[in-house]
Amino acid sequence: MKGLRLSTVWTLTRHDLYYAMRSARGLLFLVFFAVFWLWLFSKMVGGAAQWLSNPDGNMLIGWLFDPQIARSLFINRAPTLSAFFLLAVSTMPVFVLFAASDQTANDIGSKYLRFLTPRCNRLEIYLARFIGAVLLVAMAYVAVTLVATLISLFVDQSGKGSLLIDAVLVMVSLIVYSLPFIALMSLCSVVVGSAGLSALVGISVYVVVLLVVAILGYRMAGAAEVVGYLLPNATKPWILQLQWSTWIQAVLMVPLFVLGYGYIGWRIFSKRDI
Amino acid sequence: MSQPIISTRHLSKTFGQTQALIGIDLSIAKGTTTGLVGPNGAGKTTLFSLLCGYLKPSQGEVEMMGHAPNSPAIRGRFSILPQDASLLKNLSVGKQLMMLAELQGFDNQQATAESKRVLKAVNLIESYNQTPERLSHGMQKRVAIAQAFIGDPEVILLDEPTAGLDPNTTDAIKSVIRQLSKSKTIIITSHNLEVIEDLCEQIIILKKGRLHSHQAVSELTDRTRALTFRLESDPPADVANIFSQLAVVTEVKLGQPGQHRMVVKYEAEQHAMAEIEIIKCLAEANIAYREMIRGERLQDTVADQTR
Repeated sequence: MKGLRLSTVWTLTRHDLYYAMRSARGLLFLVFFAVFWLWLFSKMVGGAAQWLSNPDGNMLIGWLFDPQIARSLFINRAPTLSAFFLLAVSTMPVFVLFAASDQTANDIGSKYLRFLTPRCNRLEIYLARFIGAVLLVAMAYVAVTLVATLISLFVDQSGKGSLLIDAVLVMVSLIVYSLPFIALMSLCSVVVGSAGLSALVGISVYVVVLLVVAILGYRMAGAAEVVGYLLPNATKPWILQLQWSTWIQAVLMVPLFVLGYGYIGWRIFSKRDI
Repeated sequence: MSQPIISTRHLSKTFGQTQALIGIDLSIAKGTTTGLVGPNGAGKTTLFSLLCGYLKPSQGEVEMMGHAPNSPAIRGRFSILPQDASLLKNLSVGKQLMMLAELQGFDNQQATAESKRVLKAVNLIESYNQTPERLSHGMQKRVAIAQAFIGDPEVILLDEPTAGLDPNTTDAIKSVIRQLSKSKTIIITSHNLEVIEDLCEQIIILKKGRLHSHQAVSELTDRTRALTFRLESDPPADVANIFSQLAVVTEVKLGQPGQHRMVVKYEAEQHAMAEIEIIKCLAEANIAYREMIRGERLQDTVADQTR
C-alpha cells in the first residue's frame, strides 16, 4: 500500500466514470441493461409477479431455485420486488461481466496506461478502475431497484414500511453480490488487451467452472461443493433468501472473493509489461 | 560529468528467447539533452520503455532521480511521450489533457488553463473540443506531445517526437524542445538523426541490444576536423590519392555505393587553410560536388558505427 494516494484514486475513479458514460462500452451496457429491465418492468406493472405468491407459483420457484428461497421471497413479501430481486441476481453475471470487462483491458491494448503511469502508480490505477466499475454497476442497480420499488408500491398489497425496508436490503444485496463478479473481471481484464477478450475470458472461466462443478456433482458432491466456491456466485443461495442471518454470512464471504480475485489480478498487473 | 539524473546498472531485458537488451550501464547527467539512437532492433524502444517503467527489467536496475521509475516519490517529476500509445477515443483532447493535469495535482481551473497552455505550445488550441478520432495522425501526435509538457517536469522522455509531423510542425516542436532543454533533462529517441543532431548534446548509440557508445554529439560531428562532400557521382575508389600531397589530410572516408558521399578529415590546428587546399585538390581532379558541409553528418557517422 506504500505510495497509495487516495486523492489520486478518487480522481482516477471520477475520470473512469466520466469516460464510461461516454464510451461505447459504457453506453452499450447501459442501453442493454435499460432495455432488458424496461421490458421486464412493463410485464410487472400489470401485476404479473403476484402469481408467484400463489402455491403454484411458489412451487415453480421452489423447483427452479430452492423451496426455502421461494418461501422466503414470496410469502409475506411484496412479490413484484421479490421477482425483481430474483431476476436481478440471476442475470447479474451477464450484465456485470459485460459492464466490468474493461477495467484495464482496452487501456493495456491501446497503451493509454502509458500516459497515466508517469502520474500515478499501478495500484492507484487498478483500485480506481475497480471502484469505477463498482460505482457504475451500483448506480445501474440502484436505479432499477428504485423503479421496481415504485412499481411494487403501486401493484402489491404489502405494507409500505416493510416494502421500503426490503427495498433497501435488495439494493444493498445486489451491490454486495456484484462485488465478486467485478473483482473477477479486474483479474480477467489485466491478462488481455481488449474489453471483448476480457469479457470472453470472464464468461469462459465462469462457464468452465460451472461445468466442472456440474460434472463433479454426479460422483463427488463434496468436491463439487468445494470447487463451486471458486465461482463469484458462491454467495447466491444466502443472498437470495433475503434474511438477515444468511445475508450476514454472504456479506462476510464477499470480501474473501474480492480480495482473492483482486490480489491475483494485482499481482499480474503489477508485474506485466504495459 | 555532473550528478546523474538517470542511471542504469547491468540492465537486461529478454522477451522469451530474444535478448533485447544486454548489460546496459548508463549515466545521464542532469540538464543534458540526450539522443537515443540505433538501427531497427537495436533495443531503443526497449531501453526507453524500461526507463519509463513500462517494462520490468529481466536483470539489473534503472534509477531515475535516485528512485525506481515506478516510485511514488517521482510522480509528476518526469513526463513521457510514448510512441505508440493512443488517446481515449470519445473524449475531447482538451478534457483528456485536463484529466492528466488533474492527476499531476492541478485543481479544475488550473488544469483547464494548463491544458490550454500546452495545446497552444503545439499549435493545436483550435482542436481543444475535438475528439482524437477527428484529428489527423500528426495532430494526435501533437496532443501526445502536449501532454508531456504539462506541469513542470524535471525529466522529459520523448519517443520519436517528430515522426509523422509536417516540416512546419516539426520546427515548432523542435523549438519548444529547445526552449525546454535550457532547464530540463530531455531524452529523445528518433530515427531522424537531423533532429538528434539539432537538439541533443549527448548521444547514446545502441547496437544489437548492447551499448555501443555514449558520447557528445560534437565528438561525432566535429566541425573543425572534417569536410563532408555530396558529389555528383560516386568518387573513384582511389580518390584518396588526390590528397596524397596534402599532409594536413588525415583520412578520407567514402560513403556506400550510390550515396555519392566523401568525408575528408584533416588536422584541426590548420583548418582554415586545409579547407581551401582540399577544395582546390578536388577541382584539380575534376571531381564536382553538389554540397559541402563542415564536419560529418551525424546520420553518416552513426550509420558507419552501427553498420
